[in-house]
Amino acid sequence: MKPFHWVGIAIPMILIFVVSWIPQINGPHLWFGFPSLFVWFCLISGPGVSLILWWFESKRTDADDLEEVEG
Amino acid sequence: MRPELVIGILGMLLVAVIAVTGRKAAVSDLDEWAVAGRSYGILKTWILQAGETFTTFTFLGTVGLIVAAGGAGFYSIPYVPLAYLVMYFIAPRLWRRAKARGYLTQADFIEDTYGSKMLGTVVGIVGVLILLPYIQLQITGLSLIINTATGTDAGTLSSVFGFVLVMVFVLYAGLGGIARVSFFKDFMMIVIMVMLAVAIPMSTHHGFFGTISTAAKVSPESLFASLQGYGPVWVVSSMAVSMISVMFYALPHIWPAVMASSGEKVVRRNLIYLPIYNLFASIAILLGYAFILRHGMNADGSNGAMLTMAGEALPAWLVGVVLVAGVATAMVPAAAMLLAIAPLVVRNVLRVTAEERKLKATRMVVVVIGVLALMLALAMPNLLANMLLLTFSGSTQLVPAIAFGLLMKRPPNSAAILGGLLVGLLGVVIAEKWQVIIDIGINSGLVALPFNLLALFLIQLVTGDRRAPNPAVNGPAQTAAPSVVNRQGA
Repeated sequence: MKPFHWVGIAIPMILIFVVSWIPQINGPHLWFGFPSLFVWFCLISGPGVSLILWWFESKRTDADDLEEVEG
Repeated sequence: MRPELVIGILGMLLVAVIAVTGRKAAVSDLDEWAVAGRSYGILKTWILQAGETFTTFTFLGTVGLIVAAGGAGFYSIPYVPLAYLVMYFIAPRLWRRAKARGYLTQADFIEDTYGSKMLGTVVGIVGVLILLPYIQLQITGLSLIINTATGTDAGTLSSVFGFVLVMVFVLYAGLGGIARVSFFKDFMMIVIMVMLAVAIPMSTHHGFFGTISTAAKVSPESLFASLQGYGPVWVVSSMAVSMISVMFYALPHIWPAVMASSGEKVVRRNLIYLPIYNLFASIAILLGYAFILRHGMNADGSNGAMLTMAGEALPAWLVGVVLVAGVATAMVPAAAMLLAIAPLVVRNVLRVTAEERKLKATRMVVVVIGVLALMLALAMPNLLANMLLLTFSGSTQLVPAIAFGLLMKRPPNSAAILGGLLVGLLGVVIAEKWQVIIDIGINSGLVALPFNLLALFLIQLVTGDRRAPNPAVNGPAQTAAPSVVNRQGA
């Protein structure tokens, strides 16, 4: 794993656990018609993960495959 | 007989017929039956994995969770895609190892990695104890779906009929049948979700967004995680323990879908596309607000909320179609669990070694376990309900064995892994028994995990030796993992 992989994994992981403690997000608010917590937990997280994994996949090289097989 | 019930029963038969057609040729060995000869491409793997991950809980339980816990119920959506971020790196490694060493079960992996038959047997037994109540949950879900949608008490008899059909198509078609019927189940589920997202809010006369905003005025506490016992601590710990469990493949029945993939690229690409499926689960969860608007919040939850609303909003024949989608969400995961449990018993617990007897023994175990799950579900539902804690919190205790085995070149020895696992399982039981810890909202699996790791570390410290550099990492291709252990004499 390269440094950008760690960044790509750490940021959403930290964010998802932090938002539960932020009253502006975990509160009785509606954003674009949806509960604000729902927007973060459901609408952003799923497509966000797909985008991050696409980014990882697009950065893969043949050397990565070889490195993984050789451990 | 009510039209919804007739359509529901015909739907069960349709599910079984579609699954039976998934068998392409006579199944001659366990590898073909359990992991389809490791031949699946991206679409089949995607459908199969979505089919096993999204169960009656997704279809019914998430709505009930919003009714009971308000916005805290949203926790059930993001932990799966977030786990994919790590699985993207772990899953190809697991697939590579499984292919090279001929694994068919989770216990095969742990037994071979740590070179211990005893550990393999214990993990096999734990796997059975984990999956048995989970199968029962699907049977109960099947019964609940039929009772609620038809307004009759035909659920018990119909669920027995449905589960017998599941056993038949699992016996006949194996993973091929489950993959085929997963297409049907996922198509039905997505179509029905979209239809309900339109029809149910229309029946409240507020529309989709109007329903949420009106529910927000009536019951603002339903929008976020604040209710007693369902605060941020509960959300964060539930999300963490569920994510860890998914991330490291702690539930045995999700292994076959990975091992059935035809290559590492398929495994990786599948994880990129799977979060799209989560968006459909998100639609379901918002329908909880339509229920809150009509009936208010209910601390005990309402697993029948979705179907109750469907009954209020749709004509009888269309409720029957919803019922078909509902029964499919119970039957397909139940089939995947039966398929995973049988090789665990045959390979890791009973240790049938003769190739020609393995498939026959596996099919016999499907029947025995299936009948046992049915009998327990009907006669002793409370026993299995109590065992469910082992399914979710207990499976987390397998994470150190899987994670260290996958990520460390010199993993801990088998005694340390076994000791940690047993202490962790004991910890789950104690944490559930002493409600003091649970009352502050921390999941019992998360409470027990540090004790699991501490015991593992201490035993490793006392016994001293680590495993030699992992032979499974780049080992030669094998046909059966237990034979690897036999040869190593461990």
